Amino acid sequence: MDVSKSRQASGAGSREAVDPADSAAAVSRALAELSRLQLLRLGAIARLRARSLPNGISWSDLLHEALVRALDGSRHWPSGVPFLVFLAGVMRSICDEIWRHRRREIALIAFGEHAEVESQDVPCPVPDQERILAASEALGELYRLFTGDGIALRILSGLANGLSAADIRTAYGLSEVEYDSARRRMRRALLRVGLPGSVP
Amino acid sequence: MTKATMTGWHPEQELAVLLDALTEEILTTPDRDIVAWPRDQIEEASDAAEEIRRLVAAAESGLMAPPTVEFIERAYIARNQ
Repeated sequence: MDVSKSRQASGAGSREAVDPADSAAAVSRALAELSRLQLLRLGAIARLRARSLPNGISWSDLLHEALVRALDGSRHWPSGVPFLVFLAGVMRSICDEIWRHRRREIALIAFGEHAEVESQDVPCPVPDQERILAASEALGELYRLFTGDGIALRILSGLANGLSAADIRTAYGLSEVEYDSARRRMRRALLRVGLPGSVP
Repeated sequence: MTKATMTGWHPEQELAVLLDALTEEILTTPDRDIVAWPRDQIEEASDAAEEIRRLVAAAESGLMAPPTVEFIERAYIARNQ
């Protein structure tokens, strides 16, 4: 049985030790089998995730790095995790890694090779100012995508606060129909963002 | 007049939560919703999918090509045999 198919069929949640070579081979096969709709989703996730990155790193850089790590076996595709969920997770962790590197670089520039020790003595209320600024800008861009769509903006705000669908509907007094149709508009915007004729 | 200050707001945490939620939205969009898009948007989506296909091919071919160092070493050995 095809490993990649068995992985997808076995459902999310179960995690087993996977041989790196087996994982890499399964990734290669799964990539070859991706449909156009799945490729569209993959690109949309990369575009979305890249919004949180420092300037100069594009969505295609992020996607390329995720693909390389999955293909060379350095990131294992756990059994039972759908392939796109796995790649989305790889991109997420690469974004975190980039910011960790950035933080170390800044400390090295400021304090040299003794950064680990000396930077501890410098009072700094906000250690990740670049990341905070980038996050503020990214949040602004995401909210601007839905300018003029009050319901979508409320849903976005609810999601950003970690609310469930039911909580968002209750908090903003939205009917199920209003909520579902706004959710569809949001999904379409997210999948189309960055495409010709869409909001950048 | 009171001076309003924003405290306890962590945009990087808010963004992380929002990106996770929106990623989930993208992953769970039913295929039928995308197929129902207007024709011009479907064509744009197809072009975008092809672009991703090319990126996948580039990542795969990049892994298959031997590293430059290895290539230079092999060329040096071949010249001096």
